[in-house]
Amino acid sequence: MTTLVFPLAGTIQAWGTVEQGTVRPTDRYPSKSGVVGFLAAALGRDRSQSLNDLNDLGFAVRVDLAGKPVRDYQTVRKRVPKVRDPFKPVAADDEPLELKKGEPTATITYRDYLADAVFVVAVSGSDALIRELDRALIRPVYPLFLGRRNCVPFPFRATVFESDSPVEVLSRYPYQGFSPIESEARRGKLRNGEYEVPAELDVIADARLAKGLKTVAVDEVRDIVTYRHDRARRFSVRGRAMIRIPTPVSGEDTPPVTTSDFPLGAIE
Amino acid sequence: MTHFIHKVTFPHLTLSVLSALADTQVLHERIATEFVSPQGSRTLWRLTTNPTPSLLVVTGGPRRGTDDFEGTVATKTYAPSTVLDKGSVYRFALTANPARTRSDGSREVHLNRDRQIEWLHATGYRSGFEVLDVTVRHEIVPLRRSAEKGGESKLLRAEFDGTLRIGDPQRVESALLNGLGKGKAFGCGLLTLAR
Repeated sequence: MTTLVFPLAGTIQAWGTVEQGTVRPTDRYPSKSGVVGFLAAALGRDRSQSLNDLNDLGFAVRVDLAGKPVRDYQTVRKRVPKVRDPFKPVAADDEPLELKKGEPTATITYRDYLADAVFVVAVSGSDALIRELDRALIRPVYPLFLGRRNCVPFPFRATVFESDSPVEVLSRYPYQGFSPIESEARRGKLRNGEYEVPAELDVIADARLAKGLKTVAVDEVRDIVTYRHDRARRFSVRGRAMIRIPTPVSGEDTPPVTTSDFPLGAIE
Repeated sequence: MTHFIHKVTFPHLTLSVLSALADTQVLHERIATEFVSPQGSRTLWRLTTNPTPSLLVVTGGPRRGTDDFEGTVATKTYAPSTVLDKGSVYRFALTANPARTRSDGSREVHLNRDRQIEWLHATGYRSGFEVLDVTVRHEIVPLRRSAEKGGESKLLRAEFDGTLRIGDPQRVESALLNGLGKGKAFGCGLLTLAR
């Protein structure tokens, strides 16, 4: 069993664990279904293929920066092409689209996001699957996004650990709470000793992985994908446990851990 | 002759860096100016994106170092012969231009994956290693050169990844330091090994 670790960071992220409606909320942490979808997109799985092997991965996510909730007010109006008489000349102020008849003029939606959040995800599974995921994340088949299509992730490089415990690996992987957008200011503060890296970080893991650990809270969330075609999505329930771990100590601005950069034969 | 290997990363992806990385001719010029190899050796390089771009360069002498080179360079001495053993198996990566030269001197490039792999096996045999398993992906990049230098043309770059076994350590070292195949000025030919 090996573990794959990678950061999920971007300007905005959205991880919904509740039924869809005109209000699209986000949970405070990445959902397993969201991450499974992320990995499936990298692998190039289409909607007819099973996700059971991904659902079986051990899953834990560490909150390096909780982020700020942001609500976006967005209206949706259905527009269709206007049917024109091809023999009539076109007026100067003619619009190509018009509102569809029978549809309400505007549907109001509220979409929630997390801004400037940084999470670190660890998934454990068989050697073969983890290495396949590692390769897929370097050159994903479909574009990757953090929950919703408009949430673009910052580039990252995943790391493979020879461990079968996602929680154990997260206690070692360096702190990533230096969101690149704010990095200049943060790094400056860190050098001056002003910025405080929290002493403990929250890790939200599959309930079965938290046995015997200092658990702060448990809950259940409906985020295991069982069926994914658009109009009939189904999910089943997963138990989650939140535990606290001491923040891994790392060098100043260490970027994510990478395996040896130089090829064989290079000497100091 | 001591060889050196340099790893170049780009912490700030400025417009100047990005446009150089996107254009093979420009990249060739910048690398040739910055990483000079003395007579009798060659500068080899390879661009990878994993996912941020980085360059690996091998030279026959130390780096000349101009002040306005945009990129962080880490240099180490490169002496593969000290670690290569006959019979050992290593993972390898090679970006090359698999092609053959016809009797009239013109080049015929291998676009077919099986021929590309055959080329690699043949090249490996001549260079002292045996290819155990390999995957290959290729792309065709435009080469925008001035009229005197041949005008616009296209370059086939095939990326090979897999494992090999060393048959003749000396020949393999020569391959690592001098490159394999054509197109060495444009990012082809650099073979690297890892455990």
